[in-house]
Amino acid sequence: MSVITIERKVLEKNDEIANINRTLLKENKILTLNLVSSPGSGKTSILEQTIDHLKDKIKLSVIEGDVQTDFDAQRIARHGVPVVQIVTRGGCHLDAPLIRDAMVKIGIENLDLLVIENVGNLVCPANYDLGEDMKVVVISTTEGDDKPLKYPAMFRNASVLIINKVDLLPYVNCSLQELRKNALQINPKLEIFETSCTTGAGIELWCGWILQHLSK
Amino acid sequence: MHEMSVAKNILDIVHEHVQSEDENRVRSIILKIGEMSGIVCDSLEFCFSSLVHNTPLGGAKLFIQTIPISAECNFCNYNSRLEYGIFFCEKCHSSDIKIISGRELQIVQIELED
Repeated sequence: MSVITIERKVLEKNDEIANINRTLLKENKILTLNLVSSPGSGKTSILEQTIDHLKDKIKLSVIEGDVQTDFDAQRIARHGVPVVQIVTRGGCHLDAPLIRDAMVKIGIENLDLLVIENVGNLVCPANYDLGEDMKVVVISTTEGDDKPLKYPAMFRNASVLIINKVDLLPYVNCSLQELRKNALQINPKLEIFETSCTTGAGIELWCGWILQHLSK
Repeated sequence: MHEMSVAKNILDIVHEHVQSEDENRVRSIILKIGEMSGIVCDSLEFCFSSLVHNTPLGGAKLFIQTIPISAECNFCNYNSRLEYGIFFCEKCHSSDIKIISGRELQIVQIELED
């Protein structure tokens, strides 16, 4: 038996391209957020409200990831900002080469903020570096308060948690206090926002946080 | 279910290191997989065997060495062995810890029959 010793990272190609994306985004001083969540938590709705609050103040573009359809890109385009849809055709996550190609299509000149809306999935997107500044994980109150404990890698790898659909708290079996406690147990450094896209609660605070981080 | 794309990445790396005429000699590919890497080992083995079925690499098997999660405490410097999902120091219970292993997803060796 002969042995070839190689010690190579399986995802090294992805990570190399992620680093190229990161360098390019940093050189252009673009804040890049990777929005991740399970399907139906309200990522696209949060994004629509964020765009309406910020589009007159900053230049922003969106990369949309979905398994099938360009429904979300159509929704974003109605708000008058550049958007590119990536359809993964079954793929459960976005990877760095897909983002590199989308960045070429969308153009990043004079951009302040790039938001990547990942495929709705709390597992696989946790493990792929896209070259983003940070992951923003969204969870809705309808999903229950135990999600951070059930999907720890995603909550550990994110920098920000948005708890969405807080207007539904009186009707669902979810304790905000318990949800916060569970999330902070996994990742004490998480910055937490509470939002409702129905009432608009919390959106201004969230957008203010983005503006603060743009100037850093 | 990203194990299929991980299996494809493993095959790409094997192809870079093994000449095509030697592919039928590959018996095992040794991997290090951390408990926090998000990989379901059974799924990865299944995806890999599906990809190599009826190819010169059909005789190749994955051997997976699981790497536990460990962390160093930034407060008391103690090294803890962590259960997945419990991220605080075993000794002083501080949550200010640095993960030092458990995220691995590496090919370590390829074994070829002589």
